[in-house]
Amino acid sequence: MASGRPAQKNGSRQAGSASGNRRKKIVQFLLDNGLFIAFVLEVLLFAVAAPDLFIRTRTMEAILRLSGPAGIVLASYTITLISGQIDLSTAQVGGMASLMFAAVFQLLEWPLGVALALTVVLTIAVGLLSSYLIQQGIPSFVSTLAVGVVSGGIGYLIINLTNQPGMIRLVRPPLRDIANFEILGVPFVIPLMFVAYVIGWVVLNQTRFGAHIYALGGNPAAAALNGINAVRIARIVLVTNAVITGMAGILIAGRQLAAQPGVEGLGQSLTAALFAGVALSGGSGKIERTLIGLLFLSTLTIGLGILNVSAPVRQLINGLAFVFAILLDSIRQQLATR
Amino acid sequence: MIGRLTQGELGIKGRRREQILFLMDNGIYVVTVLLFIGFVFLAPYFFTTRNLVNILISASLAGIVTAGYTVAILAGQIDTSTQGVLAVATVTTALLFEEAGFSLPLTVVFALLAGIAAGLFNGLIVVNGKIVAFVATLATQGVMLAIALFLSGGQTITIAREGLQEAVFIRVFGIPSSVWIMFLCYIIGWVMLTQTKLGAHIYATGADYRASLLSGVPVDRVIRVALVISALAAALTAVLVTARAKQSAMFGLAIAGSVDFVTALTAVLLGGFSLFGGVGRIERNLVAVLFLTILGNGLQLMDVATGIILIVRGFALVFAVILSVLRARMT
Repeated sequence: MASGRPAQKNGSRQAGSASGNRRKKIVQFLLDNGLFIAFVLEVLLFAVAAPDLFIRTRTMEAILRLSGPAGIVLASYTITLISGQIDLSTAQVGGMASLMFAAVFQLLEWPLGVALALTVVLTIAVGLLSSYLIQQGIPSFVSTLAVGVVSGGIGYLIINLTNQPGMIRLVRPPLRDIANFEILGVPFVIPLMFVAYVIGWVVLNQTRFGAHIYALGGNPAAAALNGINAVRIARIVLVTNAVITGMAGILIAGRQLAAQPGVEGLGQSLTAALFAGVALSGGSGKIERTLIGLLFLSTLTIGLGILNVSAPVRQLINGLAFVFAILLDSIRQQLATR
Repeated sequence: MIGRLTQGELGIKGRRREQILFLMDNGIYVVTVLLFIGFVFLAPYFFTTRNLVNILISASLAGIVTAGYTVAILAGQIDTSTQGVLAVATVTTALLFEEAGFSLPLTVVFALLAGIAAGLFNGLIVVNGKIVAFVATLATQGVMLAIALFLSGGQTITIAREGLQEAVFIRVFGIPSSVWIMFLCYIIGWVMLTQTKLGAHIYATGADYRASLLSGVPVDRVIRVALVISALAAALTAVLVTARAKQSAMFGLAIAGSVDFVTALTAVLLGGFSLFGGVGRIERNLVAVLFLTILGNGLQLMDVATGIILIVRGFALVFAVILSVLRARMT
């Protein structure tokens, strides 16, 4: 990662004339609201392509259910990104946590509270390790990458130690029913996701801590000069993210009735956040918008499934969505610095 | 930049500083030898001709990837798409040789072309999209893996046709061809980096992008070339891996000593390269690759659980980065 890259973005192009200005406004409008338009178009497209399968409560519920655990993670993931850190260990941390929980709760048959507490302790340790490395001057993408490898290793170790065939099946109630647990007829992960977002929104917009997060992500040097403790914020943000990722990992394992080393479906956090206009370099972005980004991706997954699109093509579409998301971020940055 | 909190020089001066730097520069040689001796006593079947040849082949395969990777790192580009390139190239090799019945040279040429195409794709996103390489290649890797999955239909393609392994894995002077190929790669790499204008440009671009741009270095082209070289090395490795295994290789589970970008990144950092480009010596990487391969091989022979090997691998990367950052803060 060359230190010169951001500088490259500046001043590579000159500001345009009056017509260029209007074009710039249109581009800015599209960047700000394109996600909503794309989401509406997407829903319409699927509704036209498969009217009887797509337009029904079961499909809507499936989309929300899929979004549930991913959304809980995304709320804290967005805060992490805004603070200027990136976490690449989510898939492995989620898997490790679910395996830890499954091993203690299912195989040792210890009480639920103890299993949860042990999992939380493990995820806190992982978050502390990431933030310790970042404190040493290592960029977060490398720190969390390495921590991801370690977490994956711990996950495999749990499987090795318990002599399980590649995963731990979850049959002991209430874990088995966790995904189907309902409040007033709604799967409880859905209100839980909204609660996570409300907490995230309040923290970012109504507290001093949130202001510090924006300041730190936007300009670390200036934030440090103003007495903001960057190390402390990085630690809180990364530990919180690890713990929440772990909890979501348990929820996903509960839905799949099995705990595995790598959790799928958490990798979309980055794409969803970038779609929603959270800057990759930190400092800007609105948390509530990332919810739309997530719904867009979940609808894509479920919709393509309904249309019977084959797995490689689906993966290709997801990959291209990621590429598109980072290109969007790049365009945004270039417009902002012009 | 993404998450670089602590900066500034460390307050270590005088003799102590010299000693630490000397240790950092030469410690890897000592540690590798110690590790080797340790495994001779601890790991059964470690010190047998068959296993030593095995280590040599594994190390040479990882070494070729690392050679290309080094060039990208020197240009300041962290390439995370290695696994994607490997997947595309291995599937290309297996499909063309087995299913399409291409001749061996033609197969190799097309597999390498697939690597070049992947590198150009990376360059397109990094340079034209103006995106930091680390994230850009993370994204392109997803696309490449999907393409490999699409081409292979998710199946491992077994190569029943004779001629690939026999032609590629010959012994020259008793040493497997992949080792010679690796040395050739390093010699080409060394000449290119130290004796040519392109090499000087690569160092300059990695050290200071803006200054290089202002002093007329064609930075964008340099970055493109570096990414293509990195992908090309990965594609070459994929051909060798495919020939050795006689099937399209799976690069899913990454364990120590295997070929992927975590190994390459660790080796490059252990070799003394900066994460931020511009410095480093390519020959020390060779030792680092050998070290990582011996570590993985020895642990596997000692029947250590996969989980532990992965954890060791993670901490090796952690350790390598810490060393690299320390070095950067001391010099």
